[in-house]
Amino acid sequence: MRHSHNLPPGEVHLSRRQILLSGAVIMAGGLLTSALPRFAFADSSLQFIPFMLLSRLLVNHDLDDVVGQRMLALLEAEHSSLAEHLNQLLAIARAHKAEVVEDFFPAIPAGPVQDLARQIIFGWYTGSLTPTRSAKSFAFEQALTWRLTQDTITIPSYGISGPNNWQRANTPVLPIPQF
Amino acid sequence: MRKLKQIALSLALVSGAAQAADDALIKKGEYLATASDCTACHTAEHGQPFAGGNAIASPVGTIIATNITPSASAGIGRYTEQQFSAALRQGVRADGARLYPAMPYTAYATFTDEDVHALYAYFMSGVKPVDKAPPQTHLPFPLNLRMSMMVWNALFLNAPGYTPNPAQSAGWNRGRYLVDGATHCSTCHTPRGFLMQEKQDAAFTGAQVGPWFAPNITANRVSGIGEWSQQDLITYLKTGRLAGKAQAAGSMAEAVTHSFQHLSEADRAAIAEYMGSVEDRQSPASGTSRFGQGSAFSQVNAFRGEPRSSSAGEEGARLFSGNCASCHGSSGQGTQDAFYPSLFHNSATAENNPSNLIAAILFGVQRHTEEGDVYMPPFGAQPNALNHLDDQQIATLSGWILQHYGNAEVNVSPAQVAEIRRGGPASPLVMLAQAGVGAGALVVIALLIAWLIRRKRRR
Amino acid sequence: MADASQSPVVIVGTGVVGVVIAEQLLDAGIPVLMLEAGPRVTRADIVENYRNLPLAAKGNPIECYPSREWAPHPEPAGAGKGYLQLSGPDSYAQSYVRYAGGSTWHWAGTCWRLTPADMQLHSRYGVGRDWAFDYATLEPYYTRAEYQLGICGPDDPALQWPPQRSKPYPMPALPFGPGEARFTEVVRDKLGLRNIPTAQARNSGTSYDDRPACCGNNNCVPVCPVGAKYDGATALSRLEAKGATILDNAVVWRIETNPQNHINAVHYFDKHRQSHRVSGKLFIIACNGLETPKLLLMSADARNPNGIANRSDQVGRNMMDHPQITMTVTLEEPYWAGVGPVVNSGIMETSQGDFRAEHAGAYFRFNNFARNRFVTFAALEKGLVGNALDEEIRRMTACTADIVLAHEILPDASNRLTLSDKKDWLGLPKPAIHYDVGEYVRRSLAVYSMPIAHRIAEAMGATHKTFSKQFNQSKHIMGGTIMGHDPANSVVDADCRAHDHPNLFLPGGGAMASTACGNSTLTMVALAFKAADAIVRQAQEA
Repeated sequence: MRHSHNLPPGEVHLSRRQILLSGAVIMAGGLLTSALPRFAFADSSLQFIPFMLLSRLLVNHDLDDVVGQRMLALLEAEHSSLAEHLNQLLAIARAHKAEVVEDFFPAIPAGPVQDLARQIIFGWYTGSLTPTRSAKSFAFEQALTWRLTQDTITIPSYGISGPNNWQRANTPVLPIPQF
Repeated sequence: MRKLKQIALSLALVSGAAQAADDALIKKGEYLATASDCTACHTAEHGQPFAGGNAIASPVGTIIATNITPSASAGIGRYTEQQFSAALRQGVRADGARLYPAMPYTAYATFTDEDVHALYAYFMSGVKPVDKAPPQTHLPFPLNLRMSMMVWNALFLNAPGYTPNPAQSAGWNRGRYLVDGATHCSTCHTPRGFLMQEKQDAAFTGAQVGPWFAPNITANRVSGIGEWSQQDLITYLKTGRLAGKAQAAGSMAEAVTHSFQHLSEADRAAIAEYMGSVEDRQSPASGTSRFGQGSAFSQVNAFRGEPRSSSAGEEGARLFSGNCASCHGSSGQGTQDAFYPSLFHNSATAENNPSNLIAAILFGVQRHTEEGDVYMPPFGAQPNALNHLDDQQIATLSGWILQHYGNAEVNVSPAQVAEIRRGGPASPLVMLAQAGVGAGALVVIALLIAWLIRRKRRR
Repeated sequence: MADASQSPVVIVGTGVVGVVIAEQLLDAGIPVLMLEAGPRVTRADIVENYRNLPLAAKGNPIECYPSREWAPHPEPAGAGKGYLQLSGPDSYAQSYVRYAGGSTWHWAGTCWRLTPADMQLHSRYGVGRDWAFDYATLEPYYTRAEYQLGICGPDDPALQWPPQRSKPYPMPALPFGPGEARFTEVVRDKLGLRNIPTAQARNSGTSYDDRPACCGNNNCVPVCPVGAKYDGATALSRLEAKGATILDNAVVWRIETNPQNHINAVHYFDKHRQSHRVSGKLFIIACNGLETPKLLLMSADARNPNGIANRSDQVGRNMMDHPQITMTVTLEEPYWAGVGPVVNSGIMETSQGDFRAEHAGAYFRFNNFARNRFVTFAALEKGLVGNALDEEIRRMTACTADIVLAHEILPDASNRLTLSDKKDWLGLPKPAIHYDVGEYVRRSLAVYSMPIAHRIAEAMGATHKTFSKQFNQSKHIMGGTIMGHDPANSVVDADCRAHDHPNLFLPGGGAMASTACGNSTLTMVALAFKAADAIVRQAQEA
């Protein structure tokens, strides 16, 4: 399921697995925090575990916990009701026995809760929270927009091949690489 | 008339055949010179072939390679074949002075008379004479006394020639003949004793060569290249790299560029066959070889998006990202086509001796092979350095690379970096020799004074 | 090492023009002192600056180069915000880098030459100005420029621009990525147009100039992480090794004349606002096409009330660029821009023709930037999630492209740089520029370049296309110190020597008498070599 070359950098290697929400929170908590590298931010928010659970439901790809921690810190600074909204979104996901985002996203009501869901998705794909030049950036190499195309084009500023070795036929749009 | 014509024809045929034989001999000599990589030392950068002038950094000082073109005034144009052979295999110049073993005559001693003949023909007739003499070599006292080499040779030089081992295949013997002789592998890869002689009982187990470390190339699966197939070694010699394992830099890159890639495939195979039988006679540790260590790793998640002035993430990670990751990948994985190598599963980051990693950063890597040019820029004080990194930065960077992509047990200090930057560890031989001479002189003076005092007393 | 206040030759500016001239002088045994307004930086810092930018800022190359207060350059925030005071129907929102190494830090590396016709607009088409010499005179300097910077280009004369060359390119052309290859096919098969490899200052397959070869980082703009693209910064350590003295954070603010009206000193501010005086025998002002005229105007004195070198009143006038329009197309088949360097090919033949008597020529290029940053926000905006989002981003990255229409412009005295009454941190006047691309360009868009663009879009199978709403800057600043034979209507002579001051040289884009359509750097460097020859002669005669 994972593309063997151009593996993402040292993210915690949690395979994409079925998330059983009823009992998994505590188990997952133990797994996640023990696997965080030592340079991870000292004060791990209480919302980290629900945030990452929700992120993995909204974005069905391998996600890096440290990137998540950094995104969460920015979201917390911005949203006073973050904990509440995260729980609401998780509740909707649970109610729909969601395994992928398509299972529960249509059920999210328009308004702040849906906006947050969209913002979380935006964050994982772009490495920032707004499409503005003054946005704080928390990811580049790990921003998912690059993962989607890494089979054909390089992440800018990283070499694609040895000198003059980049001729290739046009890659079809589908299938999308797994990551 | 007919008879004259016949004589003329046979003369022409004979001289034509002689010419052809001459050409073949010169070609053979040229091949042997390529295998011996004479050009590595005897051709200066941008210099005329074999005209000398290359300054070779040795632990005891700078040795300047001589002009070995057939120039009568500046080169070896007046050498007889006897004199040529003596220089090549016994380290004796035509004027009787000894050569320093920077010229690997201890290895070339292996050459057969036949091959010496071919080499002589090449150097006399196949090379263009250049009438310009390079500067002389001046090693510090007392090493500038070339006759000191007489004692050294008596201790450490083999008799000329090669005796095949009948119990081994022709390929093995050819391989040994080349390895011990023309390609002089042990000159770099065998550690040396205090008097700079090769330690035969540690043959091919690795040695420092200036700023670089020529690794263990015995067939031991842990300490050497035993896990390589013969084809792997052939590929490495031909191209200068083995994807996912190793790549040649420093003097080995030069050796690949000028010598190994031009050998016949059969000769490379012979070398591989012989090397496959060389044991590591030290007692090597168990564990993983230097080819399978480390793994993909990135720390960008800690500092990506933070301004450079902040201290997010480790300094080593930030140095790696800004200076190395563009070619070697944000996780050290290299490019997909492996042209820019992965830094894990790479012997350069897994040796116990970190010289090669430090030297690669300081001096870069340059190889020219049929595949193409390989070029890693330097990061030292050179005008073309991609970034001028100081000793502390390189120590931090190397340490980070070793920790994540290679041998995490090895540390690098700024002082080590400074030593590599200077050209590698110096030998105490000079200082001790000078101290020894000084001590000897003091003894002589003391004796003289004692004698004078005694004489005075007697009066 | 040259004495800081007694160097015979003083070069203001360490961009490509300044460093090229400096090296010519040093190789001739003439010591130089170089004054650079901005800081010395390391490549690693700039590369990381880029990677650290939020996605939305990655499209503006200047964002990796925050300017220093004492050396502001135009930027969206920081010391250079609001630096240029712009007026007129068209914007002249230029961008350049006031760092040691200059704007080649972030150029794309494109190195087109002028053609013979490009240099004779007036005699051939009755518009604009002729150059002070012909292509044959400039050709050997083009060759030297190409070998100095390390230009790669095609061997086949049918693909060379122009084919009149005395030596081959130093390195062979770079391969096309899949998008460029496809673009080349469709414009050839359907429109009979040749999309040729760009002559570019990029190491092709070899370590020219002791710098690595291009490995397809696709990051040339804003910075080459490995130095495969030539930039002025790569020369700095080498110049110092040859004996140059380079003072950074030294903002020259005044050029001082003596009673004979020769230049005898320049004054610079350091970053603590202390002024220093540097005397010398020969002065070269190579600060880029905007900062050089600004400095000349700032230095007005009793002898030169309109500014240094400005008896002609042409300093700051004739400001030119290549007005460009970008056509963004959505395609049915994948093209995959983003493989290889960011600009690797172009259709140049459309820049030539008798129509130039009526309207501007244009050159068309397939921009080869990776498209992710152009399309991701729009995909998210659509409200897509999951597989649909993934497919949209991937499809749009593969199936959209930018085609740039770059026009030539005529010199117009009312396109003018003057000193505004706004001041920067050092108290120096901010530049004001009035700019109007003119009917010559507008007519081209209406009757020539836009119709061709539509045909290109059709040939590519575009399902959708949009165009820039206005002419944008190519960042090729030209004309402000224009070259000519007549001191009454030009600022410099054929060697870029100021008509008014025999020991003052003003090489660079400002000297160009016509723009043609292709990027200006190679021509600037050729002029630098020509000026350098004159400077060396003059220095040796002194």
